[in-house]
Amino acid sequence: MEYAAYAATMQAVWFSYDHGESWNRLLTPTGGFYNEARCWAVCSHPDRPGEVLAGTDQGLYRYTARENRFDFVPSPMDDLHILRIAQHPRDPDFIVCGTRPGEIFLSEDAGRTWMRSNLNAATECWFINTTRITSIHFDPIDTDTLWVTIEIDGIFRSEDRGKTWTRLVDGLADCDTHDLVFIDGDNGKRTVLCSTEAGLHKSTDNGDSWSLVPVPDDIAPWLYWRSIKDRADDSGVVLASVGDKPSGEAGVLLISKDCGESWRRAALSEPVNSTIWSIATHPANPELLFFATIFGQIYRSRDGGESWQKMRRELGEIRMIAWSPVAQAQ
Amino acid sequence: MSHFLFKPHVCGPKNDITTPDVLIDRAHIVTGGAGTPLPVHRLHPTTELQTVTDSTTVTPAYSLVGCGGGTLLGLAAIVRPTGGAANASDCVLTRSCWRLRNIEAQLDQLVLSADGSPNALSVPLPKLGDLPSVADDSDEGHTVSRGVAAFQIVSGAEIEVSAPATLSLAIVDPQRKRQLSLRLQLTPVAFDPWEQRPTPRYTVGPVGEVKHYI
Repeated sequence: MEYAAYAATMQAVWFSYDHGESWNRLLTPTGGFYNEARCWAVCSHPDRPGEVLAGTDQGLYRYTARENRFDFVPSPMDDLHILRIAQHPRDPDFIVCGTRPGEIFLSEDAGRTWMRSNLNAATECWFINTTRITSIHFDPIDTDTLWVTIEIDGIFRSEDRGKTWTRLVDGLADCDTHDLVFIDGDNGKRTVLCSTEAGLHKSTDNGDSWSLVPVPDDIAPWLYWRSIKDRADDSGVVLASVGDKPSGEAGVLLISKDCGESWRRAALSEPVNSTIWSIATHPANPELLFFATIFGQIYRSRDGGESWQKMRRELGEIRMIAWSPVAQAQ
Repeated sequence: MSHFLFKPHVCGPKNDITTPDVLIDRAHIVTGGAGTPLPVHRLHPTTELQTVTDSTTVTPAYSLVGCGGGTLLGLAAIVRPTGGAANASDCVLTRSCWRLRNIEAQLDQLVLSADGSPNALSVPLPKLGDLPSVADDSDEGHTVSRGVAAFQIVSGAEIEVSAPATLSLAIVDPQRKRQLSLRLQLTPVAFDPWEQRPTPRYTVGPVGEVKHYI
């Protein structure tokens, strides 16, 4: 399977076509994208191989492998930081973007028209002053339901495709929320995991209430949980990153094989230099994963997250990593 | 000195795109060779506008922006309360544009359309020589000086609308089968889609005492 990996960095989007070994940006003069634009999000959809949406401080862009360039997608978000992008699992034209300040914008026609959702996130917050959208998820069961995490304002859920929202913070030790994983059992019971600044949280009532999940210090020495992802094979394997602090010097990758009940450390070829900021998985091959640290390291796993090899090439600050099959070899 | 930071995406003949950022500090609305200065703070790419009068006039225009690699041609819309002064207009310009020299040979084939229907606008680019900030036509074609933007209104293309309204404008290049598009959404300023506006919130991360930075 031919695939491409993508890294959203503080210096535009980087591409790898050799399994993460080497990375390059599009040709600077003609790629359609300022090569030092700050980029926080890359998003691909299984139904659109070779197409990537990128969220930046210059606007929203769409890359297509056929054209090998970025095309600007006009939107009301031109003067905002586009931090997260999600596409409906069965309708790639339904695009949801999250920004700084914490707002949600939706398009149901591939970006031709946009609606700003009445999210009503906090307009000011402690420490970082301005809220930021940290993750957007379509509910795996009911795809008219959207979930959003916000630093610093907790978790929001919409059951009507983004028209109205409910804030879900009951039991959260910290409203600095980062990411979500949904585990739906055969018995119809659901567990939602949420990574926060103050540890891992769990909800068994679809987000209405949360409780802290204790993880031993020798497994997770710190409380700053950042990225959390379920491996794309419905096996219940969950991976999570924990770091000393957002822009710190240390981190670990944890793996759980029982839907987040217990954790152990994944084997890394060498220690990371900072918090692991993003974990990438794709249903085309659940055994293949990438993660990136905030300070530029990239690791690859070919055994479903058990062991990880650091790639030689390091980039600048990385905010997201992703991979997807491509329609044709580059 | 005021300026507008224009961030165009210039699509070339080989389908590649360059992205120069250009400061515009002089702007003119041009009609029949005569120019009316427009304050540069009225230039913007925002396509969702609030209107203050019952009737709004939207005039499609070609935009010409001076740029080192050659003048840029784009699509713009001059938006003003009907009967209002031209130099009090908003000027919305697309971030996508073409290099004028790459399309100059076929200027007379370009069609400016509104709402999907051709609006009888197939006119060559008029002379700009009367404007003091803009160079005269030369053998090399139209040149727009550094920092200058000229918005060439096409006579008879004015559209009067009452908000709420949506207008789709385009410059169509039939030869290369491409177009520059601009979709304007006009909403009355009194309209608020969110009927209940709550008190703004301030949120804190950790539970318990924290040092506030206000």
